Formats: sequence, structure tokens, C-alpha cells
Amino acid sequence: MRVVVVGAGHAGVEFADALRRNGFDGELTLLDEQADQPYQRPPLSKDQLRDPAQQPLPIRGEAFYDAARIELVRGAVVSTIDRAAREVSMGDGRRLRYDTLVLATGSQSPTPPWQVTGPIRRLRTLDDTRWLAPVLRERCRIIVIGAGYVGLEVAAAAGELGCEVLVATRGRRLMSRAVSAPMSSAVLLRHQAKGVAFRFDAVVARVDQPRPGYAAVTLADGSELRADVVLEATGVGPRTRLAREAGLEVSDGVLVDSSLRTSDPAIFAIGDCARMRYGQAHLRLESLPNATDQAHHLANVLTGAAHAFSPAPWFWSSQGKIRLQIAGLSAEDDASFIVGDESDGAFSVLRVRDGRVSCVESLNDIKTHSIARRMLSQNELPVIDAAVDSGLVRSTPRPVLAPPVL
Amino acid sequence: MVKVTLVQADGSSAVVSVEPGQSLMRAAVLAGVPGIVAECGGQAMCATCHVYVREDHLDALPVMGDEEEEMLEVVASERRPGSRLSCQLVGLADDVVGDVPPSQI
Ligand SMILES: Cc1cc2nc3c(=O)[nH]c(=O)nc-3n(C[C@H](O)[C@H](O)[C@H](O)COP(=O)(O)OP(=O)(O)OC[C@H]3O[C@@H](n4cnc5c(N)ncnc54)[C@H](O)[C@@H]3O)c2cc1C
Ligand code: FES
Repeated sequence: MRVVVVGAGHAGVEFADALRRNGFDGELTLLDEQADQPYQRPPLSKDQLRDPAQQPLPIRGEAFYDAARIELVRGAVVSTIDRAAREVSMGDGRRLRYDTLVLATGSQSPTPPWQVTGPIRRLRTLDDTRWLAPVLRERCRIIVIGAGYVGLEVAAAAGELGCEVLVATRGRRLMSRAVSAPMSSAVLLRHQAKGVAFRFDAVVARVDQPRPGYAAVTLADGSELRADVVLEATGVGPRTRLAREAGLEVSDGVLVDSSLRTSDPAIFAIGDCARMRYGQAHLRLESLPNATDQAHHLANVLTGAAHAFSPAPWFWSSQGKIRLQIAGLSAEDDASFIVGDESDGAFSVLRVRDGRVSCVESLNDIKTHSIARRMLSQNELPVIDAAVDSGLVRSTPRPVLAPPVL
Repeated sequence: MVKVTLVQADGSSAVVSVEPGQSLMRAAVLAGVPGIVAECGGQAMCATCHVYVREDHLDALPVMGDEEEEMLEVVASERRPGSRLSCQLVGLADDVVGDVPPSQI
């Protein structure tokens, strides 16, 4: 029995570990195109930008793979899947047979919808951080396109290192996919207080970076923004080319059922690249806790230790002194209730759907987050009227009536 | 440099050297010690780097901050008196013995 995993990122490595821990005794191979020892991604936009001398943190130390009898092949670009022969082939012509194949290919950046001259600078990989960290130390002027969490983490680090930072984003508020409007506003004020500038409703028409130290962004309204470097951070999409070309069902992610099985019973998908059927809907999450949870669930499925998978999604982002923790899943039109003082210190936003708390967003409010996470893992976030009695919060939540004006 | 012995549920153990200024989490992950997930990379955000420090070694540990105190409430394995987040264990005063919990997820 041989299990082959494409992608030795967080989902792939965690899965291989969990499978062995569950007692799987067959051959287990992890293939990854990257030359580096599989490393943790979250520090890339946080500690590691501030301190380039810091060694990258591996997902597991080198000794782990041998000890767990996991064959890790680095520099292996998987180019095709032959489903009939149950074989994957690599760019250099090598082939490998599988009994079970796991796709853990993660995300990729889409081609930007604007004109480009010069390189497109992003922060996705260790190589990107190796490049950006020294640039930030030179106190450059940097424009970050996109106000998602990676963009804001970079903005915070760059600001702390003495750079002049402008975040330009298409929307009207920051992290609009991840948090409520009141949380966006609170985070915005904190970044502004640190000197980070923002330009909202910015539609980028072109980006020129013809040589190091010169960069310009031209907006659709004709205005031009100058800097030393421009970083594209507008978000990612699932990396699905392999699956699509192999004829698997793909729609904004490799489609999988609640056992994480694709349309081919011998092939599974986990992590950022997978879109799981969940109740009536489909769910695709780009987060580390999701990658880890799915990895463990799949190990359970494959070793017959499966239990029903009920995702309890949570997420974090740390942007300088801003520690954001989110437990649960909200929809755009969920109501918002504030607990605590949003102008200063710690507070949380409870998102509410049909009277029930769907999600808790906490800013430097670890206590509320930890209670929410425990409740969520028991699947028992309370109805909003009982939020105080249930112990979720200590003071009465205040409804946010209209979205605050930025 | 101090030495930390981490004991697994099956009785096997590893001795990890922790450099000054380095966290026990980082030293343990680099050394390939199983059972330390450390999803958040050491920011006291994930609670997946949980260890049980044995009672007679608690004096060697740095004081617990509020963040660690709160996050220990969400560890996957039972919280016990010697529970700590290994990413917050920087500057150990002496050699330490601890146990790796059965699960971090
Ligand atoms: C800078 C940065 C900061 C982040 N911070 C946070 C955070 O604070 N909190 C959080 O929850 N999440 C964070 N994330 C997101 C998190 O890292 C991802 O959700 C997580 O890594 C998903 O795991 P994965 O295994 O699905 O994908 P990845 O970890 O991206 O791994 C996919 C792997 O597959 C390999 N691969 C893909 N295709 C092939 C192929 N054809 N052949 C060979 N190899 C292939 C890739 O090289 C890669 O190593 C961050 C991401 C980035 C980039
Ligand atoms: S590594 Fe996440 S809490 Fe320690």
C-alpha cells in the first residue's frame, strides 16, 4: 500500500504525521517542488520579516521524517496524474505509483488584472521573505496593494522597521472578506495611529518596477503613486491545475465530500486547495487551522478511525501589536454586536445570524476568543440573548446599527 | 544552554538543547520531537505547542503571561498544573523534564 502526497506544506506534512500516528504501516511519500525543508508560512509575514537573521521554522525538524519513515522528496514538481495507471509523473520524467493520492497543493496567486512591467513582488514563500526582509531594513517606501491579512501584516512590520507605507485597496474597508465592518474600522485606526497610510477604492491600472528602488502604481483615475517597491497582496486562489487536467471535479477548489474524497475514489484533497461539501453548501478555507484539521480528519478516514467531520474554523492574524483571533464563520450580512471598548484596548465583535452567534472576532481579547473557541469545538455558540449567561462575554453586547462610515 | 527532556506517551524520550533566547518550542521542533505542532509559529495564538512540565521543575520556568494563561484554556489535551505553551518558555533557569501531551489538535 503506498500513499503519495503532492505538496509538503502544512496540510501535507501534518497529514503524513497523523497517518503514521494512526498506525499506517505502508509506504508514505511527500512530494514538493520547493527545495527548502518544508517550513511554516505564518512567520514569513511576521517575525521573519522583522528579523531576517532568524532561521526559518520548519513544520517538522529534519530528523522527524526519517524517524516516522516518511519519504520526503524535495524539488519534485508533479506535472500530471495518470488516474488509470495510478501514477503521478514529475517534471523531470520520474514516475511514482500510488494506491492513494492526496492533493495538498495549497494556493497560488492569480495573474493581476493590471498591466505590469518588471517583476511582480509578492509574499508567499520563504524566498519572498528572504528578498523582502533586507529591502524593508533599508527603510524603503513601500506600496502594498490589497488590505487582506498578509498585506496588513507586511504593512505593520514595514512600519515598525521605519518604512513609509501605503496600503492601496480596491474596497472600502480592510480585511472585508475576513471581518465585520466595526472590526475593520478598529484595525484601520490602529494602523493609521502607527503611521500606515491607506488609499481605499483604489483600482490599479498598472504597476511599473523596471529596476530596484523605483516603482510606480498608476490608478484607473489616472493618479500615480511612487515608491521604492510595490508588493501585490490581493489574495490567492486554490491551486487546482493538476486536478483539473486529470479530469477531477473542480470548481473554486478541488471538490471533495465530507471524507475529503474527490470525484476519483483513490484521490483526496486537503488544505487550501480543497472545497468541501458541507451540509447544503461548499466550504473552502485558506487557513492553517483548516489545513491541520482536514489533515487529521483524512488520516482518520484512511485508517478507519473516522468520525463525522464538523469543522470548527478559527483563524488568527498578528499585525504588530494588533492580535486578531476569529472563531466561527460569518456571512457578509450577519449582524454585529460589540463587547468591550473598541476605541482602546481589547474588544470583540459577535456576529449573529438568526439570533445565534455565528462567529466571534476578537482584537487583543484572548479571553473571549478562548471561550468562543471552546464553545465552538462543542458546537454550542449561544443565542445572542444568552451570550452573557452562557459565559461567552462578561458585559451586554451592544448592537451595531448601521455600518460605521470610514 | 539548558537541556530539556521531553517524554512521549509511549515512554520514549528525547533530550533537546535549548539555546539562550530560544524557545523550547523552536528547539523541540528543530530537533524533530514528535507531538509539537506549533501552528502559529510561536505567537501564543494556537495552543498547539502544549507541554506538561513535571512538578519538581516548575521553578525553572519563566513567569506565565496573561496571553499564555488564556490560551491554555483551549489546549486539546487536558490542562494540568504543569501545563505550559512551549513557545513561551524562553530563558529556562535550569534543565527541565516535561511530557508531550497525547494530542495537540
Ligand atoms: C505569508 C503568509 C502568512 C500566513 N499567515 C497565516 C496566519 O497567520 N494564520 C493562518 O491561519 N494562515 C496563514 N497563512 C495561510 C496558511 O499558510 C495556509 O492556509 C496553509 O499553508 C495551507 O496549507 P496547505 O498545505 O493547503 O498549502 P501550503 O502550505 O501552501 O502547501 C502547498 C505545497 O504544495 C506544493 N505544491 C503545489 N503544487 C505542487 C506540484 N504540482 N508539485 C509539487 N509540489 C506542489 C507547494 O510548493 C507547497 O509547498 C499564511 C500564508 C502566507 C503565505
Ligand atoms: S506555537 Fe502557537 S501557541 Fe505556541
